[in-house]
Amino acid sequence: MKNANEFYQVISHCEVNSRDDVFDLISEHVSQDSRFSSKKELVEQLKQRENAGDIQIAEHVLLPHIESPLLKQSQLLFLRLDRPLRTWNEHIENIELIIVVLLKENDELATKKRIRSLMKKLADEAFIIALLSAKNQATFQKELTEI
Amino acid sequence: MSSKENREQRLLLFFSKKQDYVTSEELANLLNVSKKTVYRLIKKINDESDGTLLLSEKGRGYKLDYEKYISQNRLRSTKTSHYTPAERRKRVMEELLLSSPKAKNVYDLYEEYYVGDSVISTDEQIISKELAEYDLVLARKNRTIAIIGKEANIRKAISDLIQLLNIIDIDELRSNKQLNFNNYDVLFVLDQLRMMEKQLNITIPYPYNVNIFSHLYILISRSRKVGTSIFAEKVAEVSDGQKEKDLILHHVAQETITNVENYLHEILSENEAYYLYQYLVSSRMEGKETIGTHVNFSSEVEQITRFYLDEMSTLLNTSTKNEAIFVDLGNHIKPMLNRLAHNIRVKNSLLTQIKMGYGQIYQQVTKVSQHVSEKYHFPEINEDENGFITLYFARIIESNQVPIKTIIMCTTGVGTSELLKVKVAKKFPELEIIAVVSTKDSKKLLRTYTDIELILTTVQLTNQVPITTLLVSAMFTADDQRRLQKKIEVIYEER
Repeated sequence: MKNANEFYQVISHCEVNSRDDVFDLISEHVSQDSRFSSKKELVEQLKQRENAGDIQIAEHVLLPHIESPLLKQSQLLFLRLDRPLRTWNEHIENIELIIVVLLKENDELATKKRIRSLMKKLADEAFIIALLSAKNQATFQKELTEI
Repeated sequence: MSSKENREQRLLLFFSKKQDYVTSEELANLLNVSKKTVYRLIKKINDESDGTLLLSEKGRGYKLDYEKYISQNRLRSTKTSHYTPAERRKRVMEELLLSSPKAKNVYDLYEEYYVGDSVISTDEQIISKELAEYDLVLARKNRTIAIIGKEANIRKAISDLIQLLNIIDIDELRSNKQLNFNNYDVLFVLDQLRMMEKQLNITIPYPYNVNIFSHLYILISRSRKVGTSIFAEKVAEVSDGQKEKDLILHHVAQETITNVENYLHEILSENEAYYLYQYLVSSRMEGKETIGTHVNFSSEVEQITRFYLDEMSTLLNTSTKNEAIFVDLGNHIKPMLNRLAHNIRVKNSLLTQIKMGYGQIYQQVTKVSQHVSEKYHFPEINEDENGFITLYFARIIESNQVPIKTIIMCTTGVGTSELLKVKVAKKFPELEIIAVVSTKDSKKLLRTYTDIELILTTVQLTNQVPITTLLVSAMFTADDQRRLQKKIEVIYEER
């Protein structure tokens, strides 16, 4: 199920069994407008970021993020997993929500501000719990109204 | 405590803080004694402890075997079946004080200690000396002894004796085996304390709660042992004006005393409610009305609080101009002035540690206190009070450290770093977060901000930077927080 908002998309009922499945899903939903020569290139960048430092931001929640000149517009993807992903890597497990931040290089300040405000909210444990426990897409969307 | 025991304790306390070798010369200076005395003291400490507590090394001096020290301390505090001479004297004195002016048979008094007449006679001399400080006399008549003196002095002596036990957690009283306490009385008094707090919608923090506890407990034990008739003697003049000063406190005091009367099935002197009121008005109270507000400070409290802050600010060369600090100290000064007026002493069981750890601040506070007494015509402000005030300024100095200028970094500068910023700001107010940046902007930024002291990053930095850097996860786990705390300490030390 997709959401029409051009800035962010909430994708519910994701069925993924591995880290690679997640990357496939991300590249599927990345805006058609990007200049990545291949899906592989985008995934490569995400992996590079992860190699530099962990992307887990809370129990059950991941935040893969990159900034790239190859993106034509900035994008947020909320991937809600129906069944938790048991293992992400050696020390990250039981993932239920993946928030993907794809930032166009040197994007306008207004966009960065919106992302920042989301990040501030993500620092709040109560907000994370609300996102994780949202029963349906509508409740989940409602939590995001501020961004 | 005799001065010898005191010296040993000071020495051990000093070593426990130092955690390094100290020469005998330094120790001699510290204690203001000769080097020979230092050798003797160290030998005595080592002889009395289980194994060598103070290690010596040629050319370096002495050092405390810290682990042994800690474990021995623990052992000592759990030992209850066997009394040291000091403990024995304390218990005998307590028993005599509680039943004063009634006389007690010497053999009954000493039955459980299995000591001979010569020991008893030495005890009598030592107890007499201690009692003299309170203007009390130990009277021996044939085979009985009694303590004779004014009711106010007797109560003060008992109160100090109880507080010598260094009870910090009042609930500990429920199960403290060191005390000769009557458990029912203890529970009753704790209940009364709780009720007073509830009625006034406040909490009475340590050490004031212990002080009020002692007062009520003593009242009950004394009434039961010697009857209430002797309490008619006036301890202080009660003026109607003072009674009116705080009707609610007075009402609560009256009600509590009525409860005590019902508990004892005895009528107490009218003065008792006023004495309790004095204790209440002399205690720091924490509750809705006192926190963050100073509407109820009198001009005297305000002036004296400002005086302390201004004088200490000059002496310590640090700024104390801050409303929160003012309110906090004012909330301490207010009951302190009442304590001075009513001659109530609150034992400061941390005094030795305070003098040792914050010696300089303590001396300066003492100086300012002298000025306060002179300027505002107050009785001398005692050591215990100066110790409490010292803690306020020690805290000011510790929190007045210039914040550490910090940059937070991740690959984009808007992802995990922004999230981390919120988490860090909440937990570590000592960090001033200058900017949140992406790794690619870092070089430019470090040129702009030359005084950065710390970089917190969620990604491994590839380039070497000449600034303290700490890699943390965006989760900002307990482990991350611990590592950051350590880094902060290192930065403070290097300053």
